[in-house]
Amino acid sequence: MLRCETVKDFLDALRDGTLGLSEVQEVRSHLATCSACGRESEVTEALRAAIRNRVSAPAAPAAFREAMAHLLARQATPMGWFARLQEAFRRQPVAAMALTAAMVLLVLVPLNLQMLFRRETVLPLVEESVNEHIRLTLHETPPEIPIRELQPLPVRHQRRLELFQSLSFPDDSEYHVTGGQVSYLLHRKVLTVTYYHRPNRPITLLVLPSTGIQLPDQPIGLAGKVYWAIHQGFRTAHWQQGPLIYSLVADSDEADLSRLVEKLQHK
Amino acid sequence: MTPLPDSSHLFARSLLQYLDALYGFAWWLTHHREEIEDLVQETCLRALRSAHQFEPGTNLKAWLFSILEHEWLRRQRLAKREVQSDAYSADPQSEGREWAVEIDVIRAALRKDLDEGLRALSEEYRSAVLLFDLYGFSLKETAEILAVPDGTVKSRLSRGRQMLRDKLRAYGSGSSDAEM
Repeated sequence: MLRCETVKDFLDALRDGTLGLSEVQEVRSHLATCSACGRESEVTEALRAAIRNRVSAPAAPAAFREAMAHLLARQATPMGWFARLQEAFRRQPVAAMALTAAMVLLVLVPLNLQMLFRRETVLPLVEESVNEHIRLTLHETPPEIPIRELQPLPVRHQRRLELFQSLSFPDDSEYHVTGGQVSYLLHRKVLTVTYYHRPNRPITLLVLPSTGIQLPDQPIGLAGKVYWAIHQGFRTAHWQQGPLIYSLVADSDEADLSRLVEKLQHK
Repeated sequence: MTPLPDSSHLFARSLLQYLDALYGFAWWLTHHREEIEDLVQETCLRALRSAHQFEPGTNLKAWLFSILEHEWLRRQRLAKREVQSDAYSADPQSEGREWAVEIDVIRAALRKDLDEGLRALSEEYRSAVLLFDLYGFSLKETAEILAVPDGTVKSRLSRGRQMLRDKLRAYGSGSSDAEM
């Protein structure tokens, strides 16, 4: 036999439908025989009914509803590629940073980079640059490029990375952006973007100002104006587009990379 | 103009379905219109930004209420408003009340009396009563919205209703000095 205190505790759960069958039967049987609990239940039900039927709060005013509809519709606009990059890096920062650092190493070698300033050309540029890149990536908040999404932005000044076309293809399930990072490399901003292509086959793209960078004089492979090379098992493709150098790195077939090159070049 | 993807667009539209309920609940938290609208707007925007965290098939309304409640508490903390602890103690004479009379009083209670009675409750009791009794959330959902254990919700419901009953009895007897 349930005690009155227990039954009182069970009343809301009974209305909630969260009591077991045996508990329901016990509570009902108790309510039928205990006048105090029966009355308590009746009063509570009356109170609940009064609240449900007579208590109300004002509805949202029409003007506010309309404003919210506009605001939500605007906010529901799909995230641009840069916002998605930031989100991906927030979710898996370590993996993305490690991948970024590895890709930078792979790209710097075939590019035969040269520094803008003479005194720096005598330094071990690749190591210094990579270390700097990793240091900034790991320990400092990477500077963000003020990009108005999907809008062509003119070159304003040196060191600012200006993109003239979108790097993401929301409608293309074959190449979609999963991560990205903006940092400094060789005293300039560099954007690293990771595309998901196939399981365990990410493709990394680096975009950086071309000033002071010399593409290989005699590339291993040259198709059109895209320089192809293979380093440490990774296939790389580099080309210049306007004032920027684009470099793709992937453990993929040349055909896979070629399609992405064409998309990026708007062919 | 870029067309909205179905999922984001539908999610945004589904938020609008609960605008009145959110507005109403915010109204119970604060009577300042600007604050109500700001609270509801922030709730919807946070929901939209966190849409990926919402589990399809679960109660979207309860999820939105929990965001609103969380945002309200956050603002209160920021404003360093101290929620006064309720000094209610059970009326020992109420033990011998006439139940039938009380039911009549409750059934005859005017909306104004109910509103005033609820408004007089401290926020923790009022929210529990409103969420469970008015908005129809389950005990579990109410606990999740208020971010308290189930047992706390039961306790708040019990005490909140008792305080409301005493208030209504006071109104019914023509007295307005019921202690809340």
